[in-house]
Amino acid sequence: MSPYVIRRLIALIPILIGVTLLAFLVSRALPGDPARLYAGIQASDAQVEAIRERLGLNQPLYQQYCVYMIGQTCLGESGGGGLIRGDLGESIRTGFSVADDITARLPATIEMVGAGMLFALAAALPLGVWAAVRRGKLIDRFCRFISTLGVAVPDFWLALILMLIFFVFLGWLPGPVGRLDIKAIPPDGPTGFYTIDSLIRGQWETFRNAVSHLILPMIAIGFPAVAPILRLTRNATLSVLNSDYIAFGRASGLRGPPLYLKYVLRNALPGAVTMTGLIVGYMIGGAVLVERVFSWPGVGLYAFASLQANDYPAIQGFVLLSAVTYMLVFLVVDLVQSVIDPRVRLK
Amino acid sequence: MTNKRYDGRLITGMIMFGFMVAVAVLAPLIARNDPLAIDFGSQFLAPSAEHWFGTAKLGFDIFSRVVYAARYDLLIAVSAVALSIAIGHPIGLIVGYVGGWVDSVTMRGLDVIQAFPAFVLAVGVLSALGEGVWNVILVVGIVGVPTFVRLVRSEVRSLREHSYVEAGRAVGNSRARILLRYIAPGTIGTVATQAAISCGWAIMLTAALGFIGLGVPLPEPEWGAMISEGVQEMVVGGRWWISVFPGMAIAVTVFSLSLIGESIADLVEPTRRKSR
Repeated sequence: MSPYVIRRLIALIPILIGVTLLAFLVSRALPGDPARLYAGIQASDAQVEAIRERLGLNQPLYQQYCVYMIGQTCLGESGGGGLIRGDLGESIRTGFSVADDITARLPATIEMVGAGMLFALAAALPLGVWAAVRRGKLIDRFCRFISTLGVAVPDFWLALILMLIFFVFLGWLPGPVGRLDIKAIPPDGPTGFYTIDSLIRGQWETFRNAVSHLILPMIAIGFPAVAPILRLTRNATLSVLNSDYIAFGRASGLRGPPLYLKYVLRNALPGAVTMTGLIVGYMIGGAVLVERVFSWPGVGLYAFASLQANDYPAIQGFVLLSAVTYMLVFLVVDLVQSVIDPRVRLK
Repeated sequence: MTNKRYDGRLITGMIMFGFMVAVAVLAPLIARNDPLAIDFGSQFLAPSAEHWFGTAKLGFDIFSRVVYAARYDLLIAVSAVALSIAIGHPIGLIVGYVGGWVDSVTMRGLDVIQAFPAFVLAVGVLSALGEGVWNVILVVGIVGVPTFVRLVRSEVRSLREHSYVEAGRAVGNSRARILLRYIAPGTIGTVATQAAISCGWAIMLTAALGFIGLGVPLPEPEWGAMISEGVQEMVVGGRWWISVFPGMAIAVTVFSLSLIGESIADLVEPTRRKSR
């Protein structure tokens, strides 16, 4: 590993500790009584007291945090548990470990968010370059309209509108029944992404089915991301177009797509990559909303169902894992950045 | 100001936003029904002369509810942004000016808060606090604080190096006076820009929270919660009007705020205009 990577990893440690501390404090120190939340509304006072005892909520806060982080080891006992071993507690609603519950639903969410991101990039990068090249013309105005609109339309509402048009009115795409038709059998594959697994297994019918279910969620979660990437690409392209090396390229006879793809887009890329990191964070939140609309059986729908059931450990687990994922995405973004833009490493 | 051209976006944005504010203020005059009136005889009616936006479950008149919901959504958004500024602006001024360990500690704290996706953090805190208008304002406001701290801080760091500030120091002004009279006024423009953008963002966040049942408790009208009421009806019965109209209200309001935000940004930062 290069010194840059090591530096970035070390810088991550205090933030990780802070994140766990904040998640812990939110769950323990806020006005609501966690023991009562864990126990549910119908529980008697004695039951709540028993749960308080079992969860160690009658111990001092610092000790609770210690147990929360490293489990029983903290009390000098053998035995597992604690965040460090991936223990997020048990879900009240499903009865399973929160970590297992979330892991099982992760592929569905990653497939949707990944597709949404690809959709956003595929739409925004070319449009951004095109808008900059034809600055002030119709296409530029159209792009500006799209990017202002993209900020103003809630993704969950867009999801509903898309469904209204393409499912209820036109009947072209399937309704909100999840990742496949109700009777379809999920492909048995290594990745958990139905589109990829069905391809690997050569199940064309399943592949077609999975894709048709993926289209609307992909657009709904990806559309809000089009605006910022488009805007950024356009502005980056504008400044690159005015630079000396483009003038030189032009003077040397470079024209059209080769110029734009090789020289312009490449220099507009670093900004777009950073933006991608921010957008993933936005999409983790958006997944809760969009998955609810499409009954997409991912982590977001799990979080939504947990909210409905006041399943507190599950919500906290989701919040914490979202933060960790977001941080890892930013780490990856920084590393990618250092590869495409060597100046970053020297800072 | 030598530039006499009016910015069409600012005017359009102002008119649209002014319209929404007027709707909120004049809600009792505009709404044609009581937003909470229950009428089992007229559930799920399509839009008509009687009910402009149709009716929902329990016979709620959607037009009246969209109108009254403007009160909740605008009140929450404006109060939340005011809270973000009230907390974030002073902190940004101080850490930007003082620097040193105060600055480092504060920034690491913000890193931790911003390690959570904003919506997810709001969900986590609100699910512990419980629903209610004041809790939504509190949570949306706090989630918005880091933006203002960072913005003001970076502005202060560049302003404090200016020679007019140096001059102020040279004639013997105290540190507090330098910060308040020399530097703070220079940060107002960017804060105002961000306030407009943040307001739109706060409406989105409020509606998103309402959509998953963490906002203003039913049966009070709120745009996000109203959209949520129509999800099932739209898919099963094709009753589109329940969700469509509240969403349009959100889109119009946020669109107007982003027009305002962008045009103020161009006003206070003329160099931006070159790239347009």
